Amino acid sequence: MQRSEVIAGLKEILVPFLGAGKEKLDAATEGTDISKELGVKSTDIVNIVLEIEKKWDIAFEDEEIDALNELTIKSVADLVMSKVPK
Amino acid sequence: MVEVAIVGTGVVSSLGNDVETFSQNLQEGKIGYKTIPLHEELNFRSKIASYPDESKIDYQAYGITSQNLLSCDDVARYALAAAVQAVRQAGLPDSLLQNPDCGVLIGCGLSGTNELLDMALQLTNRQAFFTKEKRWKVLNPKPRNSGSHKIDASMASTCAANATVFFKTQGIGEALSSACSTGVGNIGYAYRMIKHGYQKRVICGGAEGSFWNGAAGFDAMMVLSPTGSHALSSRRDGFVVGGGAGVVVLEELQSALDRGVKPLAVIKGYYSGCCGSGDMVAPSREGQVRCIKGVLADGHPGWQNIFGEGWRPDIVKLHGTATPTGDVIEVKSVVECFGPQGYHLTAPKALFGHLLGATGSVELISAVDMLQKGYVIPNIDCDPLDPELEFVSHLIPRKIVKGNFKTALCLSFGFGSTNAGMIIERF
Repeated sequence: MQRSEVIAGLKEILVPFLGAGKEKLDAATEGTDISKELGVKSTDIVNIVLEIEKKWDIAFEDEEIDALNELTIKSVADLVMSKVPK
Repeated sequence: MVEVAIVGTGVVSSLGNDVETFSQNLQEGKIGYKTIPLHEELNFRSKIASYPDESKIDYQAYGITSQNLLSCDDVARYALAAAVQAVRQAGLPDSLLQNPDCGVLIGCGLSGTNELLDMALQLTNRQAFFTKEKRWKVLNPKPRNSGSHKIDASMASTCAANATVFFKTQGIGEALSSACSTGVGNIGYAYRMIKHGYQKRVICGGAEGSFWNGAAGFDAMMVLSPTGSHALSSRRDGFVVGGGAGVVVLEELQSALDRGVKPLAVIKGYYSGCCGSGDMVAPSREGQVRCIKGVLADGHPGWQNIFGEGWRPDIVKLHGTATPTGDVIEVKSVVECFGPQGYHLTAPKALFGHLLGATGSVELISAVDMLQKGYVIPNIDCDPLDPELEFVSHLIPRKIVKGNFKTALCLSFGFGSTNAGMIIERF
């Protein structure tokens, strides 16, 4: 799967969880902090992971979610890329 | 003593998701309950219910975002929509909301049961909505797969908590629950908080979700009507279950006047107490009379009637559930306190059923509306009247009555033998 597809899919997933306006998501780059810049609440990380698992039919270990210290589009996309078929 | 005013109202109900539509439907005597397909499918004895049409609530127009809604079951969604209506009517700017003088007290009867049920089903059935488009996938049971909002969406204080987070209030943020007295109970508590100087303004009321699982519990008790909400009639055979929300903004009267806001009504008396009969559900005339006398004494232990001997309200808004045991006892309690003439009785559950945790506040809002617009909600479904109520048939209007009405007494009774009443006066 292409990285651009993963990022587009991830942006789609983030929409209902945004605290910031949709325009900030549209303008987001890989370096955008999902929590600080897009206003996603920490309690929703679990829900975003769940949506990712549904969308790409993959599964994360709890430890992998705990390890998401830096919560950027890049860090989440990296994690997804490590799970989806090459 | 500080006087307390009602300066904003908001409603979500089967008769409308805004006060104007609700008011219009009350005046026209429309019925809000209808047949619910799920009740039919699940073999309910009562296949009717009074649920709001949520598809007609424009949360975005209320400034409620998808992120705000993540922590809400339907009960908190209704409460938020009603609260925004009330706050807008009250004209409260952020500076008055976001300070320690503004609180929230919104309770519910059964809380966010849909979310809890959802989690329980997912765990016990070993199913999750996982790749649903493609297939059901059997998972090992794992709480994480049901999402992270099961607690904030289902806790007993979910309505108050979601409202405090939404408005960013800094004062009291609590939820009282007293079954079908919840709506008035939270408003009464807020009234006392302001009257005694703890808060200047409180967003308060009650809500209930459109929960088939909770309705099933009432259906199992065989207290729901299979036919309709025939309050005061000899045909009454149970109540019609429902959901919705009623939220008001209370404020120190002087504070509202200083802001240039015209209050809708002023609270003149409030009381809450229990029958003490040792029975969970049966109404007691002794307890109801004590409740009415308690309201006339504004809840004070001295039991002095502050309204004066012989005073009576223009309108008594009955709890009037349409259960076989309830209505006659209630009317006789009222007549014992106010005599057999000189006021109107109305039982609005005949129109929109029993909204449980929301019923007291939604019906208080209906009373504010009656005083504001000068009418009495018609008792559309009370004939043939229960023979035991024939002696006060003249107090029970079948069609809308117009007039200059200044005061109303609102009664709400709940499981646990809890009784609450409030007297309001048009400002």
